Amino acid sequence: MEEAEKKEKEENTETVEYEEYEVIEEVIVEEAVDGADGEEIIEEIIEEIIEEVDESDEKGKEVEVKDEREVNLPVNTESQENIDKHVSPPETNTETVTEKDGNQPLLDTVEQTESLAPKHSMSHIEEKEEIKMTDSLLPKDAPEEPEINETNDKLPQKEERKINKLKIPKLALNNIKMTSRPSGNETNLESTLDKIRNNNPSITEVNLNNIENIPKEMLLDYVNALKKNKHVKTFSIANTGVDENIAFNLANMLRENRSITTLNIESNFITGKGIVAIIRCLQFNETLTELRFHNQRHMLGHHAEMEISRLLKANNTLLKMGYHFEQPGPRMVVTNILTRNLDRQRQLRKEEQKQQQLKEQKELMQMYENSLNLPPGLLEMLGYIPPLEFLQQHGLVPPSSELSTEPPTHNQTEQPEPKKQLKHKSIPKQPSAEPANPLRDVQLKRTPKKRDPFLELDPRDDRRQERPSFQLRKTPKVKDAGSGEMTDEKPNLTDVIKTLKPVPRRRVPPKVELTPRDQLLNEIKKSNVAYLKSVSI
Amino acid sequence: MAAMTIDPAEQPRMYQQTLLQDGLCDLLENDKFVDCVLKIQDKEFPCHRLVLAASSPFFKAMFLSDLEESKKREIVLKDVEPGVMGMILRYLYTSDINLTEQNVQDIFMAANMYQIPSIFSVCVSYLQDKLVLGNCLAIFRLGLLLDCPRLTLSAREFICERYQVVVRDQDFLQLDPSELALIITSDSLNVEREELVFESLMDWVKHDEKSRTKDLQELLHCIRFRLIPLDYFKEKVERHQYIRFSQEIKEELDLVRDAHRGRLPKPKKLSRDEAKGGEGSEDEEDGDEEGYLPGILNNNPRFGMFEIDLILMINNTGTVAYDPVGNECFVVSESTEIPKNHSSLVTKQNQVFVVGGLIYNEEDKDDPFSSYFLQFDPVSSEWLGMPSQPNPRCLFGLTEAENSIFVVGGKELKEGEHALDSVMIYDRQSFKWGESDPLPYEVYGHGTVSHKGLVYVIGGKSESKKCMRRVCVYNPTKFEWKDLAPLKTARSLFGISIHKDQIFVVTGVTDAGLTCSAEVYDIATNKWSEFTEFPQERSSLNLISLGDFLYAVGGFAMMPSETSEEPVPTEMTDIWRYDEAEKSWTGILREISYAEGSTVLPVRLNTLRLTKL
Repeated sequence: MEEAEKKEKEENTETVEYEEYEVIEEVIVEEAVDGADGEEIIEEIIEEIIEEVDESDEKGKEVEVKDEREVNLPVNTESQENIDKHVSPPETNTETVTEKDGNQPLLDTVEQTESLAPKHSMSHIEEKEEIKMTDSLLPKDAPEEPEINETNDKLPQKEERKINKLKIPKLALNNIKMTSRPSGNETNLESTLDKIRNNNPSITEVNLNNIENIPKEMLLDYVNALKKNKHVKTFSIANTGVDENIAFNLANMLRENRSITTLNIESNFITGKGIVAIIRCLQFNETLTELRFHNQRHMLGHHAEMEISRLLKANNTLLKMGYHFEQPGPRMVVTNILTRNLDRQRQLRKEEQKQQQLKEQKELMQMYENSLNLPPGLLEMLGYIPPLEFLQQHGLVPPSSELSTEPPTHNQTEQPEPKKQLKHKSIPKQPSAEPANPLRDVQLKRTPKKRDPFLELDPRDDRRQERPSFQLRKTPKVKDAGSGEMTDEKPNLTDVIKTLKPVPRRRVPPKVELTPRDQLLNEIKKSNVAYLKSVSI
Repeated sequence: MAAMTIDPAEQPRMYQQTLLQDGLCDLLENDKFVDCVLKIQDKEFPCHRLVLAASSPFFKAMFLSDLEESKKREIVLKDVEPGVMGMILRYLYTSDINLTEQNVQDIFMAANMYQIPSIFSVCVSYLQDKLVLGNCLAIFRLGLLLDCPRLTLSAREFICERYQVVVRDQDFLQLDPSELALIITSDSLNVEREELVFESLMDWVKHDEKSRTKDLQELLHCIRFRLIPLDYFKEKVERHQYIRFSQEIKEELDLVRDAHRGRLPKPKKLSRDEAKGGEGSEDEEDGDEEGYLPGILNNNPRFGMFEIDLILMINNTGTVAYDPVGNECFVVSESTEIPKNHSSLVTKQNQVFVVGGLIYNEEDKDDPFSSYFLQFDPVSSEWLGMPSQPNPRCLFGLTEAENSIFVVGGKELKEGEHALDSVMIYDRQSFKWGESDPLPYEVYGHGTVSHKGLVYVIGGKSESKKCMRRVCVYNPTKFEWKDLAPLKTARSLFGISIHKDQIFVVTGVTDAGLTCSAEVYDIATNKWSEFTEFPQERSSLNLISLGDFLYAVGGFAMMPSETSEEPVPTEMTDIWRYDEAEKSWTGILREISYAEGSTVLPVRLNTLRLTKL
C-alpha cells in the first residue's frame, strides 16, 4: 500500500511540474474522465439533476455547480501533500479574488481561470488513477468544509452528497459557464436573494462583484432584503453599476441592519450625494467596520468630502475606509477618526477582559468561601486571594485551567452546563481536607456583610448586542417603549426557559420510592420545557 | 445602618433577631452544636437541625417523624444541586442571598421542594421584579406550576397589559388550554377590539388543530362576542373554518345572535348551566359576574376598550387631557418636569414626546448645551428622560417619519440667535441623535408636519425676520429637499395640522401683524386654496385633528388689557371645532385653564388609567 501511495505522489509531483500544460489539456482530461466512469455514475446523476432543475433554472444550476466544484476540488487535492503548496486554501482564494475584483474586473477573470486550472487538472489526474478512492474519500472531506460559499445550504450533508455525484457533469459544463459570465463570479442571483430574504444563516457573505447586467430592481431587492437580515456580514457589489438611487437605499438599509460589517461598493456610479447619504446613516449604525467606495465614475467633490469627514465624527465603529480623499483636510480628519475608533475598540476589548478577570476572580473567591465555609465577602475584604495551588493541595479544586474555562463571549444559553460540571468536580473529598485547613483555625470575627461590587453584571454587557434580548433585565428599552420597539424584543419562551434554567440532564435516579410529586418535579427538571407542564387550575 | 428608621416598638425584636441569627451563624462557623450534615452528591453541609426545622416545615416534619433519617446525623438529599443548597443554607444563617437570572429557578424549585417559605417569597419577589416581555409567559407558567398566586397574578397582569405584543410570541401558541383561558378571561386585557382576542385564540388553535379543536368550544366562552360588531361576527366568526361545522358551537353562537337582537336568555337558567357543566373552572368567573347568563354572553368591556380620543394639554405644571365628546377632563400626569418652552409630538403609535428647554453639561466641553427630550410613559404617568437633543433651539418644527423624530430649523439658543437650516434626527432604533440633510434655507416659526413618510416644512420667518411663503418637502428615502407650491399668504407661528390628507394652515403672524385667514393644501394635487377664516386673529394657535374633527385650541390674540386701551397679546384658552357641514368654526369651550402655556396634542389614552377632574 505504502509503495502505491508513494508512486501516486511521485506522479503527482510530475503533474505539478507540468502545470502549465495541464491547463491546456484540461478539457481533454475531463472528457476522458467522462467517458471512463461516466456510465457508472450517470444513473445516479440523472436523479439529482432533475431535482436541481426543478429548483433553479439552467443558469442557476451551472453556477451552483461550479461553485461547489471550486470548493471541493482544493480539498480533494489537499489529501495529496505534495500539491498543497500549489493550491491555495479556498478561503484565501476567494478573498484575493475579491480584492482584485474591484479595480480590475477584466484582469480578474483571467486570474481566476488561471488559478483554478491547475487545481482541476490535479484532481482529474487523481481521479483517473483512483476514482474509487477519491469517491470514498469525498464524503469524509466534504463536511469539513466551512461555509465559504453563499450557495451552501442549511443542510450541508445532503448538499454535499449531491456535489459528489454531480462532479463530472459539472466539469463538462465548465466551458459553457465561463462564457455565460465573463466575470467569473458564480453567485446564483435568485437563490442567494431568496436565502437572504429568508434570513438563512448559511449566507454570511454576499459577493456580486463584477456580475454583468444585474438588473437595478434585483440590486434593490438585495439591498432591501438585507434590511432585516441578521446573518450577512459582508456585502460586496463592486462594479455592478450601482447608482445614486441604490446608494440611497443602501444608506437606509444600513440604518436598520445590524449584521453587516463590511460593505464594498467600489467602482460604481455613485456620486458624492449618495456617499454622503450612506455616511449620514452611519451616524446610527454601530456594526459596520469597513466601508470601501473607491473609484466611482465621478469624483465626489470637495463639498462631499468635507461632509463625509464631518458626519463621520458621530460614528464610533468604522475602522477602515477604502477611499483616497482628494483633499488633505478631510483626509486627515477621517484618518484621525478611524484611529480614534480603533483605539476605542481596543479599549473596549481591554475593559471587557478586565471585567472578565474580575468576574473570574470573584468566582474564585466565592468558591474559596464556599469550600472554606467563610462568610461571604470576607476574602474580598481582606484583599487576600490564596494561591490556587493551595486549594488544589487540599483537593478542593480540580487542578486544572478549568477555572478560567468560561470564554468571554459565552452564550447565555450554554453557560449553565459547563458551570455545573465545574461545581461537580470541584470538591471531590472535602472532609479529608478540612482538618488540615489552616484558614479554619484562624478565628475570624464575623464581619458585616458587604455588598459585593461584582454582583451586578457589567452594565456594558447589557448593551452588547450578542446578548439575547430576553434576559431578565429590569429595564428593557421601556424608554422608547411603545409597540414599535416592543416588537424588536421578540420574546422567545424556549430560550427564556433555557436561560432561566440550567437543565441538568444526567440525573441519577433516586433510590427511594417516588411520590407523584417527586415524579412531577423530576419530569420538570428533566424536560427541556421545564415548568411548562400543564397544571389544572 | 438602618437603625435610624426603625420603629421603637420593633427595636427589641430587631436586636434579638439579629443577635440570634448572628449567634447561630457563629455557632456554625465554629462547628458547635452541629448535629446534622446534609449530604448532597459528594458535598457535605454541616448545620443545625433546630435551624432547619425552624425554617422549613419539610425538615421539621422529617426530624419529628419516626423515619430513620430523623436519627441519622447525615442526611442525604437528592434532586438538589450542592451549590443551590449551599446558597439556601447561607441564607438561613445570614439572610444573605445572591439571586441571579441563572440560579433563581433552581433556588426557587429547591425552596419549593424543601418548603422554605422565606426563600420562596424572596424568589417570587425577584421574578416579579424581572418580568419582561420575553419571560412573562414563562414566569406565568412557573407561578401556576408552583401554585404561587402572587407570581401568577402579577405575570398575568403583565401579559394582559401587553397582550397584543405577547400574542405575537411563538410561545404564546404553546400555552395549555387552561393557561390560555386564564389569560383571555381577564377583564384587564389591553385590547381595543374583542376581535383581536378572537383572532389570537384562532391562531392558537391553528397551531395544533388536531388536539386543540376539541378545546375550542370551551375556550370560545372566554370570548366576549357581544363586544364584536355584528358584521365581523357574521363574516369571520360564524364562517370560521373551525366553527362552521360544529353544531354545538353553532347553538351557542345563536345565543349571541339573539343577544345582538336584544333577546337575552332568562338569567336564571340553571339547566343550561348544568348542561354545559364541562365548561370548566375558567368560565366560572364570567358565569358569576353575569349571574346565570352563559359566559359566552359576557359583555363587560376589556381594559383596553376604555381608550378614547383626547385633547392632551402639556405644560410645565402638569398634563391634562380633555374629552370633547364627554366634556370631561382627566389628569394625565402631575409631573412638572416639562420645560416651559417646548414642542410636543404624538407619533402614529400614539407615543408622546417633548423636546425643549436647556441642559448644561459641564463635562462636554465641545458642546455643553442640549435640550430635554422626554417621552411619556402612560403606565407610570411619568415622563421618561431620553437622550438629550444636541444643538438646542427654539421655534423649531417637530415631527416624525419612519423611525426618526425630526427637529427642523428654528432659532439657535445661543447668542446671535441665528435662524437655522440644520435638521436633527433622532433614530429610534439606535437611540441616537444625528444630523439629517439641512433645509435649503434658514427658517424659524414655521410649521412642520409629516404625511406618508414625507416631512413638510411650511412658511415661517427667515433670518431677516421676513415671513415666507415657501413650502418644502423632505423625502428621507431619497435624502432630498424639494420645493412645493408656496403659501398664498406669507406667514409664521400659525396653527397647522394634517386632516384627511390635507394640510390645514390657520391664522398666524404676517409681516403686517396677526391674521385670521386660513388656507388648505391638497397633497395629491400640490395646490393651496382658501379655507374658512378663523373667527379671531391669532398667533400660535394649536390646530389638531382628532377623531373626525378639526379642533383649534388657545393661542394668542391682541386684546385691550385692563390697564391700557392699547391691545396687547393675550393668551387664549378656548377650544373651537370646525363644522364641515356648516363650514364654520364653533366654540365648544370658552375657557380651559389647563391650556395656558400648553402644547396641545391629539392622543388616544385609556381613561381607566386617568383620574377624572
